[in-house]
Amino acid sequence: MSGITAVKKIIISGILLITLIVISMLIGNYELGLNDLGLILSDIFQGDLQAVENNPDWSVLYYIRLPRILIVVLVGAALSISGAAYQNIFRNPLVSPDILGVSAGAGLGVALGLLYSSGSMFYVYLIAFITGTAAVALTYWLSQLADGKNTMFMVLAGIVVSSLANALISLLKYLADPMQNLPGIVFYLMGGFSRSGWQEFYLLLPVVIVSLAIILFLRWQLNIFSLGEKEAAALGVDTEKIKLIVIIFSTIMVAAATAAAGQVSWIGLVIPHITRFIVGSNYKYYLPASALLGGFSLLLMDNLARTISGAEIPISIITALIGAPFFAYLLITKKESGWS
Amino acid sequence: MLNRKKKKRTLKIGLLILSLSIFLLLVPTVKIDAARNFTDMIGREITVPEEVNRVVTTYKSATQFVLALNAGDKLVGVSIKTDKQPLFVNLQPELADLPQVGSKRNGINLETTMSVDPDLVILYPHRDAVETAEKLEEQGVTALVINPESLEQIRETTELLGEVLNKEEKAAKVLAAYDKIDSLTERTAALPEAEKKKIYFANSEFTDSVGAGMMQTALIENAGGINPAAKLKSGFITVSAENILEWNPELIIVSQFFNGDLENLTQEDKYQNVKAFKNNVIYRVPSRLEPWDFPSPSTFIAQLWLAQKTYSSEYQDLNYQKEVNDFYQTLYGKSFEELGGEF
Amino acid sequence: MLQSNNLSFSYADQKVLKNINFRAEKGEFISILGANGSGKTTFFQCMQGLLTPDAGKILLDGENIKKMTKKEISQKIAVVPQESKNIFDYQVLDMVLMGINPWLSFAEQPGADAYQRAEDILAELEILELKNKSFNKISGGERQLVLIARAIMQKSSIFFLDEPNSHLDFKNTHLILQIMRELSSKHKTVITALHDPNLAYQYSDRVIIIKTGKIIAAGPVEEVMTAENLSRAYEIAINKDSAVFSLTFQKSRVLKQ
Repeated sequence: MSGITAVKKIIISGILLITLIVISMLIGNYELGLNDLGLILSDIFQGDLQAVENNPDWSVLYYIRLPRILIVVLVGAALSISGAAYQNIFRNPLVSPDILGVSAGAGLGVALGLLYSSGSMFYVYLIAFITGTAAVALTYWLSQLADGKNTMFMVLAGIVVSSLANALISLLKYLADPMQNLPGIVFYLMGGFSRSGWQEFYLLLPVVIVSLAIILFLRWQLNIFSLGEKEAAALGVDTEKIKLIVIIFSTIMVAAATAAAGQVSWIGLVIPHITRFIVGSNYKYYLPASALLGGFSLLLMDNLARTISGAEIPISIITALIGAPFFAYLLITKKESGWS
Repeated sequence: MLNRKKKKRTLKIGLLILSLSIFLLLVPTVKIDAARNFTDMIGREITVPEEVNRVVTTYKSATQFVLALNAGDKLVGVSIKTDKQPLFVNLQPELADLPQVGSKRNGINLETTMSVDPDLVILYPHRDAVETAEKLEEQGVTALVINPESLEQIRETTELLGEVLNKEEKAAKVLAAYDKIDSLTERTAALPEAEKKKIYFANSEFTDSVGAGMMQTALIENAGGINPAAKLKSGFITVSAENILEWNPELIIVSQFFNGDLENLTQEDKYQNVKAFKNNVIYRVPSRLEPWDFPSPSTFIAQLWLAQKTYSSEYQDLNYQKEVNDFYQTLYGKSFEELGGEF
Repeated sequence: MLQSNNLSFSYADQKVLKNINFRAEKGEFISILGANGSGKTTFFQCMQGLLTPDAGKILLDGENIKKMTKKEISQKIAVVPQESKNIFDYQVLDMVLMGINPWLSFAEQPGADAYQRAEDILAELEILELKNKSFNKISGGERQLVLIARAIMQKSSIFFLDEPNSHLDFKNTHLILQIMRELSSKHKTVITALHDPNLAYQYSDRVIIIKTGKIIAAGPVEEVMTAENLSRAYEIAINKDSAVFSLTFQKSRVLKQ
C-alpha cells in the first residue's frame, strides 16, 4: 500500500464513498431499478414535473432513501472524526468518542424526551442534544475539580458521568410503561436510521459540517498534541485551548448524531484505527480520510440494516458484530497500525 | 417542527449542497384522494381514502383486529413473526408469506412498507409512531395509530377500524360479542364486596404484576374478583413475596407468557401458606392459540374464563367451551377448536 | 538572555527549588549537574515557562516569562527532549516541521518554505536520507538528531536539553554534544542537564551544580568542577587529584562501552 501516496488514498476513499452513495440509492426493499431512475430523469428533462411528483418511485427515493443515506454518511463521518481527534487528545489509540459521557448523556435525553415530551420528535432531539453536551460539561467540571491538567482524571470523570447517565436510563426504563414507552426507548437507543428524513438532515448538517471543519483546521496542532502535552506546549501549542475546542466540537457533533440515530457503537473506535493503518498518523491525511471512511463504512452497514430482512435491524447490532471482531483482529496482528 | 413553507426552502438549500440542482424546481407535494376524516387514537387528524384495500399492520394486535373485522384479505404487509403465530397461519395461511415490515419493538422499515403500495398503515402507539406516521403521509399513505390498551380502548379500536375499513356491520357483531361476555359474567361481577375473591395476576415473572388502571385488573374485576395489587399503584408493578403472603390471594393466574414453570412454582416453600397454593389453584391464562391476557379482540373471553375458574359453582349452567367456540366463530368465522385451540 | 532571580518552587509542601539565581548569556554552553532528584528537571520546566514558580522572577530577554504566551516563549526557547518513540508514528520530515509551529498563527498549516527549511536542516545534520522514514523505526541516535533538527527549526536562541545522551551510545553522545557546541559557537545559548561530569567538563563554558534545590557551585568549568564540589553534589568520595579525575573517569567510561 505504501506505493500510493496518502493524497491518492484520500481521493480513492472519496470516489468509493460517492460510488457507494449512488449504489445505495438503487438498493432497498422498495424495488427501484436503473430504468425506474431513468424514467424519473427523463421526466425531469422533459419538464414533466407533475409526473415526477406523482411517481411513487420518486417519493421513496427522495423522501426515504436519500435523506437516510446522507444522514448515515454524516453520522459515520462525525463519529469517526471525533474518535480520531480524541485519540490524540488523550494520547491513546483505544479511546472512542463516548469516553467523556456524550453517548450516555444523549441516551438519557432520548429516554427523557420519549417519556416526558409530546408532539414532534424535534423535542426529543433537542433534549438529547442538551443532555449529551451537559454530560460532557459535567465530566469536564468534575475533572477540573480533581486535577484540571490531567487527562486521566478526565477519562475517570467520564466513566463516572457515563455510569450515572446509564443508571438514570435504567431507572427511566424501569419507570416506563413496558407496553408503550419501553419498546420505544429500547429501540431508539439501539440505534437506527429508520426515522431519518429531511428534517433530521437539516438539523444535523450544520452541526456536523461546522464541527468537522473546525477540527480539520486544527489538524496540524493535533499532530503536535500527540507528542504529549509538555512537548506540545514547548512547541508553542496552546494545549488547553486545543483540548477544549476539540472536546466541545466533538461533543456537539456526537450529541447531535446520537440524538438523530441513537447510540451507534464501535464506528468511532474502529474506523480511526483502520484509517491510521491506511494513511498513517499525519492528521493532514488522517482526519479527512477518517471522515470519508467513517461515512463509507457506516453506509455499508446501514445498507445491511435496512435490506437483510424486511424489517429494520438496529444499527448498533451490526456495527458491534462487524466492529468488535475486526478490532480483535487488529489487536492481535497490530502490525503497521501506526502505534506502539 | 418545520412548517411546510420552511421545509421547501430548506429542501432547496440541501439540493444545492448536493449539486442536484436539476431537481431544484421539484418540491413534491403530497397528494391525497381526500375522502373521509377521522381522529386516530393518539389524537391525530387523518384522512382515509373512500376505499381501503391495501392494509399494512405493524404489530400483532393490529393484525388481530383486522382479522376480527373480516378484513384479512386486505392485508398486504404484516409485522415480523406473523408466520409464527398459530392464529394467523391457521386462519389465513397466506399471511405467512406477506412481507414483514417491522415490529413495535424495532420500528418499521419504510421502504418495505412502501414496496407493497399500501393505502393504510396501522401503527403501534409509541412515540416514534408519530414520526413514522408523518413520513408515511409524506409518501401519500394514510397512517393510523391504534392504542388498544384497556378494555374500553379495545372497543374503541374495534369501532374505529370497523369504520375505516368499511366493516361497520362486522364491527357491530364483534362489539355485541364483547357485550355478551359482559352479560355472562354479570352475575359474579355484581357479587357483594365481601364475597369477592382475591385474585393475584403474575406477568412474565411471579413478582411482576399489574396495578390499577390496567386491562388485566379490569378483567379480574369484571369477572368478580379483586386485584389486591391495584391498591399499590397504577401501571406495571413489581411486588415483593411479602406482599403476596399478606394479600393471601384465593386464586392466582399467570400470564400466557409467564417465564417460569408452574410445576416448580407450586413447590415454592415460602408460598405454601397462601390460600391459592394450598388449594392448588394457580392457572396460566389461555391460550396457546393466542394469549388472552394481551390486548386484542379476544381479550374479553379471558373474562369468562377467569369468572368460571374462580366461581365454578355460579357457572354450572354455563357451557364454557361452547361459549368460547361461539365467540371465535363470531370474530374469525371459525370456532376456537377449528382454529386449533385447545381447552 | 535568560535569567532567574530568587526562583523558588514547591510541589505541595515539598520545596524543590530554593532561591535560584541564574543567568545565561548569548552563545554560552551551560551544563547543569546534580544527583537524581536534585531539582534539575523542575528547574528546567520553570525556566521554560511550563511551571509557575512560587516566588522569584524569570526574565527572558528582559521580559517576565509569566506574562508571555506559550507561543512567544517557544519562539525564543527550544526544548530537545530525550529521544523516545511516539505513541503515533510520524515521518521524520513531519517531526522536523513541527518545529515551525511557534511561527504559525492559530490553525495555520506550514507552507512550502517551511518544508524547504526542514529539508535544509536535515541536510546540514547529514540525515536528509531519513526524511521519509518513520520516526519510530530509525535508531535512537537518529531520533535524537531529528529532535535537534526540530529544535533548530524553531529558530529560537536558547536550547534546553535534559540529559540528551541517556539513551545514546558513546559515539552518538559525542556527536550530539558536538553539534550543540557548534550551535553555541553560532551565538545560540545551550543549557543542558548532564549525568556525566566528564561530558560537562569537555563541552561546557560554565557549569552549575544543584543539590536539593540549591545551587552549590556555579562558574567556569575549571573553577567549579573540583573534586570537593562533585563529592558534595553526589555524596561520594572522589579522588582529590583534580588534574586526573576527568581522565580516569573518561577511561572507565570508555572501558565500559
